[in-house]
Amino acid sequence: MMLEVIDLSRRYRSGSQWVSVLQNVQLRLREGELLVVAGRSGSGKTTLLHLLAGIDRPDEGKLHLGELVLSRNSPEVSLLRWRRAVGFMHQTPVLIPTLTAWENALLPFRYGGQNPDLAWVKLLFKRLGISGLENRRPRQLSGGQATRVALVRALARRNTLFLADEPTGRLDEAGATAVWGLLLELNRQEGISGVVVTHDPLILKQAHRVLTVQEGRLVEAVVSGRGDL
Amino acid sequence: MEAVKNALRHPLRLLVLVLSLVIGVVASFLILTILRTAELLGQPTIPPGVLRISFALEAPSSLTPAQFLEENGLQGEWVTLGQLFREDVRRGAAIGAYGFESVETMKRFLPTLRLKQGGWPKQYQLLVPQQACRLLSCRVGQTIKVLYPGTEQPVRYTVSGIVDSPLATTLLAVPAAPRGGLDWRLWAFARSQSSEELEDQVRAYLQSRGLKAADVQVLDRIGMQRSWRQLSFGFTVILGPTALVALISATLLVLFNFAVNRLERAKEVAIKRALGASRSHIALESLAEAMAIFLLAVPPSLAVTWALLDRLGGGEAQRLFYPEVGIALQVFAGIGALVLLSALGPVLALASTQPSSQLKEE
Repeated sequence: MMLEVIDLSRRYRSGSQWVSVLQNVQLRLREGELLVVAGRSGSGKTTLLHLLAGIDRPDEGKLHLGELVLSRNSPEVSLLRWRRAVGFMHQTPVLIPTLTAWENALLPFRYGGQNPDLAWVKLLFKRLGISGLENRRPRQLSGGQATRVALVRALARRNTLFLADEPTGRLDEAGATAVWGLLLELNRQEGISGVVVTHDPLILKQAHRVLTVQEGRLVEAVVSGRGDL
Repeated sequence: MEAVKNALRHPLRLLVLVLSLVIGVVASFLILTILRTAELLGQPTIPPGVLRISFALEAPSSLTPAQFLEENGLQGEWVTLGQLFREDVRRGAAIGAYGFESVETMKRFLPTLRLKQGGWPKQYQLLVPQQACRLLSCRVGQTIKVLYPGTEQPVRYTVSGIVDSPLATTLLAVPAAPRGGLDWRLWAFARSQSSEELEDQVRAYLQSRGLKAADVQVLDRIGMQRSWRQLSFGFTVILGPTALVALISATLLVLFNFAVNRLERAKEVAIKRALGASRSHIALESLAEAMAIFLLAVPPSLAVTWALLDRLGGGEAQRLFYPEVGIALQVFAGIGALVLLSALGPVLALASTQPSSQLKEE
C-alpha cells in the first residue's frame, strides 16, 4: 500500500463556531494508482490534499506513507520528512521571483538534502515543452509556462507519490494535454502514484478511481475505464 | 547571492535603508574617532616635557629642531621636540611638516624615510636615524631611556628600526600620531614660561635667521587637552543625536522591511515550507538578507567616513584624525548586530508561516 489514511478529520474555527471540513476520511492508495478527487468548490478537496502533502495536520486520524506516519501530534521533523517524500503542486504556480526557472525547479533539493538529478530535471523541462526557458525569471514566463515550471519542481525529486491541485486549471488545451500526458506517462512507466484534485474531464476519464468529497467524507463517484492496476 | 537579489527586490526601500545605515555608521565612526583622539592625547606617550637625548645632528638645513633648542638655551629643560607619526606609517612615506608650515626652509627638507634595519615602530618604540644611532651606539631591539623633565624615572623605548633620514633626530612613535605619513612638529610645553612667552621666543628666533613664521603654534599640554576636550565634546553633541536618530531610523526601517516581507513573501515561504524547508532554513535565508542589506551599506559608509576624516584632518593644524581599523570593526560589529536583532522578530514570524493557511484558495 502506497498511502493509507485512517479516520482523518479536520475542522476549522469560523467565528465562534467550529466547521468540520473532513470527517473520518478513509483512503487507501495502491502503488501506481492514479486517483482523482472531485467535488464542488469549498467541499474540502484542497484541505484533503494539504493533509496528504503534510502541509497541514489532521485534528484526528493518521496517515501512513511507507514508514512515515503523520498525526496531530507528529513532531515538526516528521512533517518535514513527509513533505520531502511527496511531490506537491499547488493550484497556482508560486515561483520565487528572484530565481530562474531552473533554480525554481531545483528548489526542493535545497531543503531535501538530496543531490539533484539534473538530467531528470532537464528531461522534464523538455517533456513539458519549456526547454530553453531555464534561465528566465518568473516574470518573463507566461502563466502556462510558470505552471509547467511548478510541475517540474513538484516532480524533480522523483517521489513515488505525486499530489496536484488543479494542475491543468491555468493551461490552454495544448498545455493541459502536455501536462496530463507527462503525468500519465510517469504513472504508467515509472509507477508513480498520484492524487489529483481536478474537474478536468480529460483527467477524470483516465484516472483509476474518481472520488468526491461530500459532506466531509470521501465517496467513490466513478470507476474509470482504466483497468491496468 | 540570493540574499542580495532578495534585498534588491525593492530598490527604493533598500536605498532609504542603506542611507540611514550609512549615516549611522559614519556618525558613530566619527564620534569614536574623535573620542579616541582626545583620549590618546592624554596618554603619556605624547612627550610631556623635555627630551633629554643629546646627540649630534646632521641636517641639510640651517634650521633644525636641535639648533632651535640649543640656540635658545632650551635644550633639556623646557621644550620637548618630538616627531609623532602613526603606527602604520609606510615604507617610503613622505614626511609632511607643519607647525612652521609657512617657513620655506622647513618644507625643503621633507625627506622620505628608508628603513635600513629593523621594522616600523609601534607604541613605545623608536625609529632612530642612522646618524644618531651611530653616535648613540644603538642597535635594533635595544632599549633607550628617555628622560622627561619633572620625572625621576626615564621612559623606556625600544629601537624598532634604523632609518636613513637627513633629519637626524629621534622619532617617537605614538598611536595618536597624524595620519597620512610622518609629520614632524614642534610641541612646546613650557613649565616656567607662558605659551605667549615661548611663542615670542620662537618668532624672535625665526626672525633672527631671516625666516618668517606666519603661524607659530605653541601648545601647552593642558591647553591642548582642554581644546581637544572641547572639540570632542562639540562633535559628540552634534554627531551623537545624528547617530542616534539615524540608527533608530535604520532599526525601524529594518523592522518595517522585514515585517512587509512577511506579508509579501508569505506565499513564497509557504511553498518553500511545503517543499520541505524547515523554520531554520527560512530564518537563515532571511537573516542572510538582513546581513546583505547591512553589507551593502559598508562600502559607502567607509567611503564617506574616510572622506570626512580626510576633510577634518586635512588642515595642517589638525592632522590627528585618522581612521582606525579597531574603531571600524567596533562600529560595524555593533551596527551589524543591531540590524540582525532588528530583523530577528519579523524573521522568526516569517519562519513560522504555516503553509496550509497561506496556500488556501485564492
